[in-house]
Amino acid sequence: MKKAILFIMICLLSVSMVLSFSMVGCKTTAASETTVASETTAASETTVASETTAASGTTAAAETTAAGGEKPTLTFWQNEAGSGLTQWYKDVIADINANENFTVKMEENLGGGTEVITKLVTAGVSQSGFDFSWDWSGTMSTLARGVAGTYQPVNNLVSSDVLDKLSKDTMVANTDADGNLWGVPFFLETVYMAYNKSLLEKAGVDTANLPTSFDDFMAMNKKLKDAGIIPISFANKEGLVHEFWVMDMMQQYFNTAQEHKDFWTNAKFVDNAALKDCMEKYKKMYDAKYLDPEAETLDYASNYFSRFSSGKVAGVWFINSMYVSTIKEGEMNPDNVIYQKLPFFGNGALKDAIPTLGYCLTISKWTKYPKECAKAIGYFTSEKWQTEMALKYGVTPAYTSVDVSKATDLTPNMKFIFESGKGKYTEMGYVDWIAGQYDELIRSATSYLHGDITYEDFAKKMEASSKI
Amino acid sequence: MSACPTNKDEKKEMIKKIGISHRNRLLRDNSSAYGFLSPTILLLLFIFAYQIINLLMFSLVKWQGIRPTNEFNNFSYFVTLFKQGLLYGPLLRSLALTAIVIPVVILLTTFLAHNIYRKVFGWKFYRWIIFITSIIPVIVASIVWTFLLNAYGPINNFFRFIHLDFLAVDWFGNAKFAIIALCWIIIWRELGFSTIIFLAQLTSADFSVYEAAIIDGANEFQLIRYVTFPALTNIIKLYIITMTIYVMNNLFGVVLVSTGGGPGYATTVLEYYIYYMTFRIGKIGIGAAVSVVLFIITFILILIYIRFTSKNNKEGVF
Repeated sequence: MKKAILFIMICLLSVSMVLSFSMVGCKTTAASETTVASETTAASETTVASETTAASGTTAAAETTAAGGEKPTLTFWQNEAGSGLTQWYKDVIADINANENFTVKMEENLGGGTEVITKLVTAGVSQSGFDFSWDWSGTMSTLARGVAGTYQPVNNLVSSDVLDKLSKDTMVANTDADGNLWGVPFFLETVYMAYNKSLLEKAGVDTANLPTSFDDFMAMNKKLKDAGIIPISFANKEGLVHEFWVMDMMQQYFNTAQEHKDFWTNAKFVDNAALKDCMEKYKKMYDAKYLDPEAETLDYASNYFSRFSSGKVAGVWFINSMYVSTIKEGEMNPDNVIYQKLPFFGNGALKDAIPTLGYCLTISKWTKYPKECAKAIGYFTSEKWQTEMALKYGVTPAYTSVDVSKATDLTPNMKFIFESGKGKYTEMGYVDWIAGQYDELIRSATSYLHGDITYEDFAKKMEASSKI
Repeated sequence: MSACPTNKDEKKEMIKKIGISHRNRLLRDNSSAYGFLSPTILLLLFIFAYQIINLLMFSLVKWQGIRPTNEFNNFSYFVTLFKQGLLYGPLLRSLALTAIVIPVVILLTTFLAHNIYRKVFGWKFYRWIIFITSIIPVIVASIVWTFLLNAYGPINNFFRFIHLDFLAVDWFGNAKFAIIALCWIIIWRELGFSTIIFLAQLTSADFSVYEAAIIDGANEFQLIRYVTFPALTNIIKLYIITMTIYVMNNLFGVVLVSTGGGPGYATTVLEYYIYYMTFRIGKIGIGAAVSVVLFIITFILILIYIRFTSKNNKEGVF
């Protein structure tokens, strides 16, 4: 009898463990769906009076709170680290929460690129996790995840008045062949060269006349190296730096963004003189040890910018959103940092353009509050908050008409961007990257630089990766 | 029927009845054991068997981005793997690692176990210090060795200091040396546990053989070759199989931390390649197909192991 009772108890325990395992991975919103069912219905009944005015963020639509229901809470995944925009996000959210009949709750996922992608992919598979999210623009990111079912198109949710004021190239990068727009750009990652002025002066470089050709650029690096200074930051453990020196550099060989896009899409690299020239110039810099030889196997996240801010290297291919963490929080004197557009590999019309990669806000496919999400996105992309982003945080806004003429406290990097880059941005996410191409690039470029493979082998691998 | 059957038919019937009753008795005696085991078996079936079946299905359906469809893919992912030669590089690298690591570990472990067994001076200290390597987490070991073997790390700086610059190699930045550096991390970590296992086997061996050999004038190398090695033969054979399974299936952490599969693809082994294809390239179907291939290889190795242990009447050592 005792055996039987014990046996039954163990069976019950095991069955409950099996059932609880089965529940893992099921939609976590199951519970919240039942509790907010009444609020959902009520919220949709009091529809937005004017999405345009609400989206501008200047006037809050006077919404009546759903009768008898609590304010719905939207979960916003903030996945970007390093730009120093945390307070900006909080301020925007506070504005939304004060003026709307829903609240936004921010969850930060600041673990780094791979971790963020994994979280987004997992959310897409489980169809749960967030209402609206931050994501990278472009065919590899927002577009890919949108088409795969993580997001829903925003065309009919965000008004054209809002979209018309944002970076067009970035929106093209987020639009699929059927015209579905999957993400709303809200800030642009701009890339350019940044130099430590005092180190350049120590090596005898004329900082008022920075090089304007590849040969002059190499001559400057030689001076730095001869003075015992490491010229350019590298950190090549993962190969991510090749994105700067190949992906971004290649635009200089083209006259239009379409030509640049076609180059990657057509994937004919073996006989391509432009790519060959770019790789050879890159290798010259590597062989001359102008690219930090001490950082060959150091990881990008911990070393690439920190070696610049700690004065170990004189120059860095700089990402604008890293201004706060690298220069301000890295305790560099902002006046000791000078900026320049890309070093000069090609001679196409795009050599004067600053490459950008837009970051955008996306709406999840499973959210119960798509209109509320669209309204919240309207705040992030409003003139008020976009101007604050540019002036106070030194980040390039996606809002194309930010007026800086009267600004007195522009950070040096933003002065540089507004003076030299205005109207001349190219959107890297515009490129129809096949995921295999990007990963092949960051691996095979390392092998090419090391001399393990020839240019032809590198080009063949890039072509083959496009066909996986 | 009489108690003593007199003809064939009666005998057959009696044997049949005894057999059934023997079976019934076994069932009755063991029913509670089966009962108590069944929840655990169910759980294991769910965790392992269900996931393996899921994996097989993932490799056989078409994928649309990150979502599986219900459409059979006609083994297209397997065809892609072999036709485009995607599998050969990672597989060869895994086999190369196995081919380097196992003989080196066996040789070093035999040498260490022999000397500890022979109680050389400081043997207790050696036994302790060698075992420490196996209790250090593999991620910690990888991070530490990545730092030590860095091109400008302590080891290379020491070589430069003593004017042996040719030894200051970029271990993780050079494709030729990266795989050797990876092997070293695995060997360093495995020495401790395998030494203890080999030592345990030696302890159960007949010491009189050693005495006889010493009386016959054998030196230490001859003792290792003619006494220790033969005493460890069975365990070495088992060890080869289990280490092969380990190297094929347990290097992801080491590779991720130390080299990230690079430089280039120099250290992208089969297990890391699964992660690479699934999470970096986003080709989940192909990643699943590679997983199935790895599963089949491991399964064959396990069958060999089971066959070997049952042949030798052992239940397995590890």
